[in-house]
Amino acid sequence: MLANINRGGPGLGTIQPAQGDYFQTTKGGGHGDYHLLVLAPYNVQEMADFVKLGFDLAFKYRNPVMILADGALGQMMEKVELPPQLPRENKEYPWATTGKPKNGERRIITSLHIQPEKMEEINLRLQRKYKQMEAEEVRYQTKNLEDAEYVFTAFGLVSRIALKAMDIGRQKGYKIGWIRPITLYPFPKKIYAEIAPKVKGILDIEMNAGQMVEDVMLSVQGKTRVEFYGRMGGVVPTPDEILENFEKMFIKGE
Amino acid sequence: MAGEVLDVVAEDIVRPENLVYRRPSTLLDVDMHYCPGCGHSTVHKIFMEVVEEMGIQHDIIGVAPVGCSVFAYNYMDIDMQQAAHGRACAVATGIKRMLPDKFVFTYQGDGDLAAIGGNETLHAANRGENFLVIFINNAIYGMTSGQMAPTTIDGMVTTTSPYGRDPKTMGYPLKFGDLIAPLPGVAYVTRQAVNTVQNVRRAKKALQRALEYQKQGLGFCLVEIVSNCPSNWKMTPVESNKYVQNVLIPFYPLGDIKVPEVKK
Repeated sequence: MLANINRGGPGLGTIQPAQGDYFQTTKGGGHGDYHLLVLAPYNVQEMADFVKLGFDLAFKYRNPVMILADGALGQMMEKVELPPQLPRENKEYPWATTGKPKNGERRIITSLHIQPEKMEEINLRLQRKYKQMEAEEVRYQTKNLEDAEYVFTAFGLVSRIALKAMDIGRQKGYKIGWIRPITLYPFPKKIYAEIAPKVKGILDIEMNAGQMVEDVMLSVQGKTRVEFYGRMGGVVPTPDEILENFEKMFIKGE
Repeated sequence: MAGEVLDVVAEDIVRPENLVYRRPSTLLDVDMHYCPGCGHSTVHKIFMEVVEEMGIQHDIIGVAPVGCSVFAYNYMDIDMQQAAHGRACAVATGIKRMLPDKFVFTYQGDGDLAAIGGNETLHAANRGENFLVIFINNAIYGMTSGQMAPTTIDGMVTTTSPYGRDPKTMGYPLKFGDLIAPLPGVAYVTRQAVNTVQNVRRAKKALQRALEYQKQGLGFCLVEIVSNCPSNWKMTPVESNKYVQNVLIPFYPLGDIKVPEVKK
């Protein structure tokens, strides 16, 4: 279980909130073909809830899980209902190195496999695991998709700001819906593919130069127009700013 | 006696009562990948003898490093994990904290422990983590073909110091055991070797003592073994053991650097 409370980058960057680590977190960014299971909380309650969920998923798949939040969520104060303290799990896992079993084989935890054929076999097993995650662990949240002509999409903190932008837009008469991926990997491709033919466009908003938007575009497969609006370097977009840019891109441009 | 046919067959000799030397049951009966004459195999053997003698085969977890001994788990018949380059002390910290009643050790070379993992090792020692670090110091990076390590001694020729290590530009050889010994979390630091029979016996005793200290919860223990690398030193095994004796040991003197105070 890892937590990345994303600050502005690149390099030392700034201590202000940003989402520029989306690629690093969801596409690998380390060595070899691997994925972390990535959870993106959008409030402080989820920051707490996803810790337990993250550990459960990590043990279910024997795969590292990352919580990707940002510098604002990391320092924000909100009401939180803390989950009850659970007793420490005492389960025996057959793979755990707790001392060689008296009537069994020794356990070795390693990622080193010098034979290429063996290493490929490990890779194929990992890919099967990722496929299973994609089938079973996709999490997302939607609002107002039923009559939506446009969709705002964002993750984490920005999805909350986008929600407000959607409300203001609705008051102005724009039929805007909202999608927020909760798992960034596996990415909720299906909901975007389903909604794409029914809407005039999707606006993806992020605190980076446009990273998740690539996954949105891959998911809609050209079935609708996808635009991007982002701020970088620690700047947090406002709801009005998002709506203004939406109008510029989709309404005035029509 | 000359010309007489000895009336003895092998079966008469190979009897349990005649057994004076054997592979410990905790060491697997497989071919080792180590070069002929390398100290790793000796250290593996004596450590697994200690594990056998203490009866802790089912209560010990090891962490293998990156380097020549990366495959230590192919030889030691115990539960093991493999850490990434230099990270063994961090992994061992996790294991020991979750399983405080088990014995935990790392097995690391000088490149892994003192260079790549210098930070992990230093802080695990300073936190007084209650596990054993077996530190094989042959003054070079062995697996990658003999580059200079922090432990390479002044003037020593390696592939990356072809004219000999010059402390002016390459820094001074690092005595990691001496560096961490003053830390309050560190219980036991000793420097041993396996180049002679006498030294092998002493090294084995040191490993056993370290595990006893761990059982008593005294803190971080480091057993450094000044070892050889015949292949990369481009020496025969015998020459390399002489080099250990005549060149390395004078710089890395053997003996205890820190021992726990006896409780009264």
